[in-house]
Amino acid sequence: MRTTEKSLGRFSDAGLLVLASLADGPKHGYAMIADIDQFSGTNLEPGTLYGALARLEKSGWIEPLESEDRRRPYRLTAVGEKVLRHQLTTLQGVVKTGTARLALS
Amino acid sequence: MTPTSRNPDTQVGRQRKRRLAVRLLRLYPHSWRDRYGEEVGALIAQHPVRTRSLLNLMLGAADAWTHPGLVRGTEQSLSLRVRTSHLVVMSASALFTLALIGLLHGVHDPGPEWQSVTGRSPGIRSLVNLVEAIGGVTVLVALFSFVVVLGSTARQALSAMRWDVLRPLIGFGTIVMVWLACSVAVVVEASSRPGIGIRPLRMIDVIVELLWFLGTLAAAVGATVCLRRVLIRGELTHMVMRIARVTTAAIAVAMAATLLTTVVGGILMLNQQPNLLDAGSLAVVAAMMAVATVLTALAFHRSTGGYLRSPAGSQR
Repeated sequence: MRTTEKSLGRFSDAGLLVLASLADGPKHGYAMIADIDQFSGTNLEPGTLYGALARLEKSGWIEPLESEDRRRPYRLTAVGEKVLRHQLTTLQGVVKTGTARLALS
Repeated sequence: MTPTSRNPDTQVGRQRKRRLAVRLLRLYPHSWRDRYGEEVGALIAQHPVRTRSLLNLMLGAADAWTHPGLVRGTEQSLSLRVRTSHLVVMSASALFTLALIGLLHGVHDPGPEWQSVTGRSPGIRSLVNLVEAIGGVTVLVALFSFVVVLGSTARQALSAMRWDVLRPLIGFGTIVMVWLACSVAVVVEASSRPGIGIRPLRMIDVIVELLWFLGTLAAAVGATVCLRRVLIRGELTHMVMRIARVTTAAIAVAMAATLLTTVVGGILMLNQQPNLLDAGSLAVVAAMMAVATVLTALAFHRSTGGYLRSPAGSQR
């Protein structure tokens, strides 16, 4: 798992945001940007979004659907869902530890 | 809040940036545009385009060029990656050699200043010795690798009687031999000049030197074209690929070491004798060396990345 995360390089953050955005169903590029902006406050630019999409697609974590009027939706694959769960579990551990330590200090 | 509500630009400015963003998509590789161009075009039509969006698209284009395997179905074979990397290294080496020729002939050579500094400091002297040793080993490794790569390709081409590979190989050998013969003739001619010490150049000397320089350039172009054909058409074994990787790394290290000594030597020289012309010439030479070094390092990264991800690489 560590190796595959590393392969996303500087796109790993954007990749996680995209995976989280697709967790509730397929979306095309613009819908992903709007959704990610809403739930995380991060405004992804097209170059970053498609850099992350290309890497996620190559890793087999997302897959493209039929194009709708020049816009192509993407959906999470089973492997992508597994990766997202793993990453969220890791993040939860970080949040829990950080919160507990802040409360103690 | 939607992304559009943050955009403070005017309508005209937005349209101009949008058109520019669409034009920037032409910077992406063809395969990338075939796969994602239409989607990104549709996204640009909806998404507010800011100055940072344009910069982001430019960075994305650089990323797409440096990671050509990202678009599915366009992954280059490992062999092709190594071969194209080899071509990049050859071109970078030619650029570096040109910079070195410029340093030795067209620029004030910082060698004497280096010697005066290294004579006073044993630490720097040891460092210079180390750099020179690395350079020597690298030249040997590069020559060995070159002979192995060409020898292996020639052997396979001969056994299969592949004339499409053998012809450019013979062409390369001929060019190298002719160039060597001409270089020897130039050296013999130079040693036959009358006088002792610094001797005045005759017109014939200038013509011979100029012809030699032009001939060297023509030979470099011809040899590169022939080698490109040999490497693209020939088959490479994994052993050869490993050697090619080691060579690329060695060349990159030697280039970086030479660049370092040139820059430090140049600074020492300019400290002692400030001269704008020397500074400008040295800056050009250093820039050429830096470009060649970065190209070689990128070629190493490219061939290594391909190798490590390949089944043969993971079986090591």
